[in-house]
Amino acid sequence: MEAILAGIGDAVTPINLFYIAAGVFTGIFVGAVPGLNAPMAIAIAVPLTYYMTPLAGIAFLIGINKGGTYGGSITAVLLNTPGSPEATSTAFDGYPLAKKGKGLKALKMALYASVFGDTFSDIVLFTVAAPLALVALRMGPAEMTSVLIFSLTIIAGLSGSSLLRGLIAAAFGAFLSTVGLDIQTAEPRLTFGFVELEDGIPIIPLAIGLLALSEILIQIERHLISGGGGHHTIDVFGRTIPRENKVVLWAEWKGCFRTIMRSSLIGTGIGALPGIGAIVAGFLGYGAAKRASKHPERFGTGELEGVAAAEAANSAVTGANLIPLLALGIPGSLSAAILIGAFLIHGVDPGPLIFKDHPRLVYGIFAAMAVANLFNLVIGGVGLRFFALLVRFPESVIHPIIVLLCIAGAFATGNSMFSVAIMLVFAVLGYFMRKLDFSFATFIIGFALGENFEVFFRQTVILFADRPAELLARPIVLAFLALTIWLLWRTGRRGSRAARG
Amino acid sequence: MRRADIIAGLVLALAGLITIFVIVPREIGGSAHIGIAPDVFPLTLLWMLTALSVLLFALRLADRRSAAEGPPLELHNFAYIGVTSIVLAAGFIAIATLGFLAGGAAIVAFTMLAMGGRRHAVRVALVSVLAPTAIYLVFKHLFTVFLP
Repeated sequence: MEAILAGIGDAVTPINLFYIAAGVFTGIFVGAVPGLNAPMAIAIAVPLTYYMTPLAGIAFLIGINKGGTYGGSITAVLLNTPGSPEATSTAFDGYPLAKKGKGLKALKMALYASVFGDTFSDIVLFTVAAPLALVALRMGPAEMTSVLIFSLTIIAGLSGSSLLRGLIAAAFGAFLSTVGLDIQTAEPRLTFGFVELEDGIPIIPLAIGLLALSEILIQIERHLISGGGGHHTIDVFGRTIPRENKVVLWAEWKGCFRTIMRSSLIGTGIGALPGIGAIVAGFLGYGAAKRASKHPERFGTGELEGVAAAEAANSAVTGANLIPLLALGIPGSLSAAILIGAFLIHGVDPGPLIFKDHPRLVYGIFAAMAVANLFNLVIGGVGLRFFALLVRFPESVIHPIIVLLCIAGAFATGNSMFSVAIMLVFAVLGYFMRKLDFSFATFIIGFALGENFEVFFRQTVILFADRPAELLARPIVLAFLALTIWLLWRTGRRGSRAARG
Repeated sequence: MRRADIIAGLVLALAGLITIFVIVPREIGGSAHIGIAPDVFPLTLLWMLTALSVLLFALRLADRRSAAEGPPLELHNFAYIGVTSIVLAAGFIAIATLGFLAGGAAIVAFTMLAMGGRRHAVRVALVSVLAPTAIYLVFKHLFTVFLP
C-alpha cells in the first residue's frame, strides 16, 4: 500500500505531469500527421528519456502511445487516410460522417470512445499484472523457455501475412541479439573487431532505423512516384454547420455505450495476447458492433456507432499490451518492445521481478497511465482545431525533418556516430523487409526477447542436459510446447487454405 | 509474393549457410570451460533460420498458382534505395565532418528538393536552416545532448 501511494505521489509531481502532457500532445501530434505514428515517435523519443527520471521517461513514452492511438483517427475522419494503421476501421464511418458535415461529432466520439477503451484496459492491467507476475515468478528456466517459444510463434503467426516469413523474422531478430560479449565467457561474438558492438547492437538505433527511417524512405519513394498529390480535407469547424452536428448528444453517447463496452472488452483481450495488435482489435470491434446492430446496413455509410466501436477497441489494446510485458517480460506489441529499451536504459528489467524490485516505479507508471488518459481527453478535446490543421502539413517539409530527428535520436543513444551508422543500416534493411513483406514488428520483438531467451535456453540445457526426460514431467513446459505445435499446425493449415483460395 | 519469397528464401538460406560455415567459426569461439560454448545458441538460431528459408523457397517454388504475379521489387526500387543509401552515407559523412548544423541543412535541402521543393525555394532555404538549428538547440538545452 505504501508503494502504491508513493507511486501515485511520484506520478502527480508537476514535472512528471508536464512530461505526461508533453507525451500525450506529441502522440496526438504524430498521429494526426499522415505517415507518422506512435511507435515511430516512441523509437525516436526513447534516447531523450536518458535525461529524465525512469518514471518521467516511461510516462512520457506511454503518453505518446496513448495520444498516438487517438491521433490516428483525426486523419481517418478528415482525410479517409488513417494516420496510424489501427485507425483504418475508424475511417469506414468517420469519413462518411465528415462528408455529411458531422466530422466534429465523429472526432469527439472517437476521442471519448478512445479514452474509455484505454481506461478500461488500464484498469484490467492494474488488477491482472501483479497476480500474473506472481505466477510467472514460480516458473523455472524450462518453463520460461517454453513460454518464449510459444510467444515468438504466436507473434510470428499473427503479426504478418505469413507464418514462415514471421518465423524467419523472429529467428533473424533473435540471432542479431547474440552479437556482443557472450553472457557466460565474456568472449566477443560477431563484433568484427568493433569495440562498440561488444555491448550488443543497441535496440534504439535499430528500432529508429527499422520503424521510423525505413517508413519515411518508403513514403518519400511513394511521393516521388506519385508526384505527391495534395490531400483534400473537409472543414468540420464551419460556422454554417449546426451545433448538433458538432457535439456528441447524450442520447448518442448512451446509444453507443454497449458498443463501447463490448469493444473495450475485445480490445483488452486482444491486447493481452502478444502479437495481435490494435489493427485487428479495431476490425474485430467494428465487426462485432455491426453484427450486434439492428441496422447493420448503416455501417460504412456514416454510423457514429462504427467510429465508437473501432476507436474503443483499438485504444483498449494500449494498456493490455503491457500485461505480458510487466508480468512476463514479453512485449505484446511493437511499442512494448521499444519500451523494453526504455526500461533497460534506466536499469529496470521489465518482467515479473519488477513488482518486487521496483514496486514504487510500477505503481507510478500505473498512476501516470491514468493521468495520461485524462490528459488525452483534455488535450484531445481542447486542441482538436489545432490537430485538425496538422493534416494539411506538406509531406515535403515533414519528411526531411523526421529524417533529421532520426539521426539526432540515434546519436543521442550513445553520443556517437556509430549509433547513427547502425540506424542507417537498419533503415535500409527495413526498406527491404517492408517491400518483401517480412514482419519488422516480429523482428524487433525477436531481437528484444533474444537475450532473455538465450539465458533461459542455456540454463535449461545446463539443468536438463543429462536428464532430458525430466522435462516431460513439467506440465507448463508440455502445455506451452503443445500449444506451439497446435498453433504452427493451425496457422500453417489456414495459410495453405488461403493460398488455395 | 511468390517470386519474392523464392528469391528471399534462396538469399537467406545462402546467407545462413555462409554465416554458419564461414563467419561464425571466425567470429565466435566454439568452446567453454564450463557450461555451453558461446556459439551454441547463435548456431541453433542460424540453423533454424536456414531451414525455414529453405522451406520458404521450396514451398513457394512448388506453388505454381500465383506464378503470374509481378516482382515486389523492380529495377526502379533498387535504383531508388541505391541512390538513397549513397545520399544517406554522404549525409552521415557530412554530419561527422562538418557537424550537425551544416550536414543536417544539406540533408533537409536535398530531400526537400528531391520531393519537388524546387517551386518553393524560400521554404526550402528556411526549413533547411531552421530545422537543424531548432533540433540542435532543443537537444542541447532541453536534453543536454551535444550533437556533433
